[in-house]
Amino acid sequence: MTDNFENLLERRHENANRWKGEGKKIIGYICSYGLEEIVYAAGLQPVRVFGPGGPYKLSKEHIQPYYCQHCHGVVDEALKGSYDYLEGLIFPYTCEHGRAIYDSWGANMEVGYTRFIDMPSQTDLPQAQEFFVEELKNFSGSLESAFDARITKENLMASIKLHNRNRALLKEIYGLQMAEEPLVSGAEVFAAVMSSTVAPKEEHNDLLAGFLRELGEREDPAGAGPRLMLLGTELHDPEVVKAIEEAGARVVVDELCTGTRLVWENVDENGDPLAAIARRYLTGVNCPIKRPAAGRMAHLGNMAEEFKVEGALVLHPRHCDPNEWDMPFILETLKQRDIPVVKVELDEVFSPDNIRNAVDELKSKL
Amino acid sequence: MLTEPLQSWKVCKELANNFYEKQRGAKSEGKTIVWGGASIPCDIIRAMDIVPILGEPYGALCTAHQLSEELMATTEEYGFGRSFCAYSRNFVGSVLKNKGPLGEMPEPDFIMGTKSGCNDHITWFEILARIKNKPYIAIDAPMLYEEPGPHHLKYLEDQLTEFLESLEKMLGRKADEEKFVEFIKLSQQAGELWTEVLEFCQKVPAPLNFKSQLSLMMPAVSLKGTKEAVDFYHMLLDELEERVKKGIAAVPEEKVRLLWDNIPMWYYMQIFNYVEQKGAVVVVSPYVLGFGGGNLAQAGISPEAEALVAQSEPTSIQEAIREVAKEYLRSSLRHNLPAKTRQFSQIVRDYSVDGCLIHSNAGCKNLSCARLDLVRSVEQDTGVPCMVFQASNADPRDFNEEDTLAKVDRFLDELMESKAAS
Ligand code: SF4
Ligand code: SF4
Repeated sequence: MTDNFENLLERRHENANRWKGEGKKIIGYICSYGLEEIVYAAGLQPVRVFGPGGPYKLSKEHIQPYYCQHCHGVVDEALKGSYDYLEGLIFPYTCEHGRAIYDSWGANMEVGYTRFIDMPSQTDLPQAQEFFVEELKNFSGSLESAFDARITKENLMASIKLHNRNRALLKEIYGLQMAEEPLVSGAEVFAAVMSSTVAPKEEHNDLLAGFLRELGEREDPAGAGPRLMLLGTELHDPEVVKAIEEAGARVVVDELCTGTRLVWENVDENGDPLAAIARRYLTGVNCPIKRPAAGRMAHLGNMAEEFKVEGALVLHPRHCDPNEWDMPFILETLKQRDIPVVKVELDEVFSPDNIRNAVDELKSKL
Repeated sequence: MLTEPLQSWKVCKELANNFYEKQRGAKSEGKTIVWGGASIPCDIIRAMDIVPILGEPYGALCTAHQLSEELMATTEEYGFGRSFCAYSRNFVGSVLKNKGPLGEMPEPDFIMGTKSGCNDHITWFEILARIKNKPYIAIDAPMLYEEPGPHHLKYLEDQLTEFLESLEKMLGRKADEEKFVEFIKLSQQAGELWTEVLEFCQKVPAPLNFKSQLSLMMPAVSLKGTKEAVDFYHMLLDELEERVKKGIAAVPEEKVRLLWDNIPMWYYMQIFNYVEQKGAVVVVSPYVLGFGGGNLAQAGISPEAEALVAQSEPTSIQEAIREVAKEYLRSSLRHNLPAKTRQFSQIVRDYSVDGCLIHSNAGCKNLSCARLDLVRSVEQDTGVPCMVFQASNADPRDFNEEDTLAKVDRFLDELMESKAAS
């Protein structure tokens, strides 16, 4: 069953080109604020953009070396032509590295539609919600006119429900990892979550429901070793999680942009749909770039407790400033719970040796 | 070429000394002190008689005093990395180590962050508020890649109004309307006058070089809202007019005119003397121009949007707050790549630039964003060559002196040759 998820990831461009051939219009988005509900409600297919792993050559002509490797990955992949199927790219503002992707894309790619959505960075301001709703209205309007679409309250609500179901199913799978002996591995969960960003949600929901049934029939624990939490921001390659588990640990939960951050909070199905979407993205994602960090630290600590985490591995993408800023406070949060932490830097080419060493180091601290 | 020292220089130095003196004496005078980034609304803060201590100028000062490596080692020991804003890594280190170029930093009563241009502006100060256990206030300015609309203005206006209310509550006194409006007007004037000062450098030969501009911009950055800043720029403008009339140049020899992009390497200011010895002079930089408000025409926005953010003279507190909000929006209009490219090309033309030195600054991802693509477009638009080199504004470890100077040599040789041939 997990082959399905890995296949979706491996064949993401092939699939997208096929959908395009079938008349679908596909929109890329940068980072975890993809506003998929709105894009989908406009009759478009959203996909997250990311690179396949380095070494990256083409991006270096456009992006300086001190921008994060995720930024290089996306731009490199786009310059190779892999994303030529996209009708547009949207960027709900996160960090300056994301801006570099967006700017470079606009300068070098033939994209018909680009849109910068002015997402507040300080999410707890009383004015932020009202402002963001206005931004979302303008964004919806721009999609409607660019793609001759109609975004009604009804199709927006249907889209919210579809996306909520996807998140709920994924969260249910995460929940299985709270067991003493989880029957699902961290690598499987990661592939399931990550593939949701490049698949039509209807199809993905069916796959998830099937996966849950299959998990219900499993009897043997999926792995052995200490229960780890993965921390960080962007991670795309299921091989990294596999390498961690192969080194003798179990990944039971994460706090990653491509993990729980995507699925933990749902959109409220009551009230005005755009206001509910705004609320969910403002306060329910817990990305380190958004402030204040206090909520995220509390959330991280709670998850560590719920999932009975024994050790934490920080997968730090090189030059990811938002993650760097929070490091001392992440360490403090985990130290209060006696959870040892090891940080490993992810470069554009991931090194299984580094991962293995980091897991060994962590094990020695337990 | 005729050249002589600037008379206004002494006054500027005095202003800077007074500024730091005031900071040092603020506590004993019973003044309220705030720490924040250079983009906090200093005019509102000063109008309420609060003394601001600004992060970026402070970071620059630490670096110019060659304290960076020591301070950043402390930052890194605390668990932070070395990738984010280099100014902030100096500042945080100075706080943690209780050491800096001005001795002990005066304790803040509160700390504030204002996102304007980059996220580090708010993260930096939220984290300091946490470390120092002080009250924290944040203001979130839109990034504004798209056209500004009424909701952008309202967003900021509402936040600034609430900010003023919270200051009134904290201080236990109301803002004095006349004084408040006056501060905002003075702040507007200082920005306009600073732009006028820089425009003098469109003249050939330029009456000021970039190194002087960097010192002379201190009142526009750190004394926003004060009469001293306005008076100083009036004086400087008079002197510049005289200089231009008499043909007094910034440097004895101006064979080629350069544009400098980004913040300088504060630990290696000798680079400017180095190029000047070769007959090249940096006459302009979008970085220093940025403190003057910029040109709306290059933003590429509709007439309605232009009208929405255009400056006007305030007559009440409400209007004054709106003017502050508009200023944030105007400066945000420079963020997106097409607007930035138009701005650069226009500067190259207006200042008769022969070549551009592009500091790809690992210490500031905001100002370095998409520079490689920008350079290509500017070269194409203007035919003026650009040299890109990598360093950092405030982390000397990111600078390779030998390589950079070799690159500069080659670039200047080629420029001189092609200029001589034309
Ligand atoms: S949050 Fe980190 S990984 Fe994500 S785009 Fe920004 S710098 Fe890159
Ligand atoms: S990264 Fe650049 S724009 Fe941001 S606070 Fe630092 S110097 Fe200022």
